[in-house]
Amino acid sequence: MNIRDHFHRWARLAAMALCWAGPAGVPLGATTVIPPEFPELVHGSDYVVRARVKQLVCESEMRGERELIFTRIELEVLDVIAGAPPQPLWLIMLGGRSGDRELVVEGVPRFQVGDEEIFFVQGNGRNFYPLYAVMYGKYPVRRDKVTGREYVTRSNGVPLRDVSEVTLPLAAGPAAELQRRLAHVEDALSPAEFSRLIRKQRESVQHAE
Amino acid sequence: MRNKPGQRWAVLLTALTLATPLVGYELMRIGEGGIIYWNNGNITMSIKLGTTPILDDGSNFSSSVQAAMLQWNAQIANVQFVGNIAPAGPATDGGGGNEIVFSDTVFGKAFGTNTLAVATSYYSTARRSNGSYRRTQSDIIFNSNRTWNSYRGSTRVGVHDIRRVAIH
Repeated sequence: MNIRDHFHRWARLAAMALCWAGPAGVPLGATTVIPPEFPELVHGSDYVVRARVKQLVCESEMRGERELIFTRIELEVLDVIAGAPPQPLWLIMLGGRSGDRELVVEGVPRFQVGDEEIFFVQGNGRNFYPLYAVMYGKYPVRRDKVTGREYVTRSNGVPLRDVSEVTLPLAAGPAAELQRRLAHVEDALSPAEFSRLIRKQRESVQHAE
Repeated sequence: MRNKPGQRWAVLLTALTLATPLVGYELMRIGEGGIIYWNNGNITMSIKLGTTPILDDGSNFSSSVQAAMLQWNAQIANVQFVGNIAPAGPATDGGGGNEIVFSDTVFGKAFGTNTLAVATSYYSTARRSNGSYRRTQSDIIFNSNRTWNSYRGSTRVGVHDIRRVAIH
């Protein structure tokens, strides 16, 4: 067994240990989410798109004396993987900047202009965050600096090697950093392969119906 | 017996991974990389989760979360949480207080699938001299559409232990 095999084996054990820590999910900040299985993620989403963040617009509204700040996120859709997103596509999330203050929802992934990602959208405008299971619904697309190959990561930046990893707890802080450093990006799913698996999963139920 | 290099990496990874939920937090950073934290001192949190019913571990929702704060306080130094149990009720609109409540929405927006609790914070975008930012208000909202209890021991399917979630 080589070093990589050891790493993968122990990484899985560590992740399983975290799963056993409780079905309440794993903390990222203080927003607590139950990790979905891949089929649940695919079928629970209203639509799935590969898209690039075009612009962010913050706006606020008063609720009594509380200023609620929202961010509207315009996406340039590059590929519709499942469902039928509206065009143009604007997502809206609780949190953003207004004047000299910012409202943050702790532990939720942020959006940055120029980022290209695969988004599992659910309850856009209705939910405080527009993606299925919050941090489990966002998969950044990265490019290997050496080979130029595109690959998919989880929202914490750790490469996604298999769709079964979707449900693993999302490490934060030093644990995530270590996972990123040790990961082999050549093992990660490409956006095309991830999209194919999403479509296949989506179609499996449609055929069953 | 001598460890192989892979095993040493694995032990380190396991330790770090497992340490994350025990520590239970990471420093929050905003886009510019500045760290957000409270001013040193006591942070008063108004716990408005109710004092009935008596839960499986003998606590109630408010006292269970208060106990979670004590666990936090044992791990932190510059700030200490002070949990004041207040009558059950919704988060007040404004006023700058820190509140912990049950609600079926996050300030009017749905929790969405799989979300048990949400923590929101306001911070000042004026940088301190050390480049950090001051957190000014935090609220924690537990999803009242879920089934909650407070219990020790193994976790139960579909029944969430409020203390464990609060510690997270």
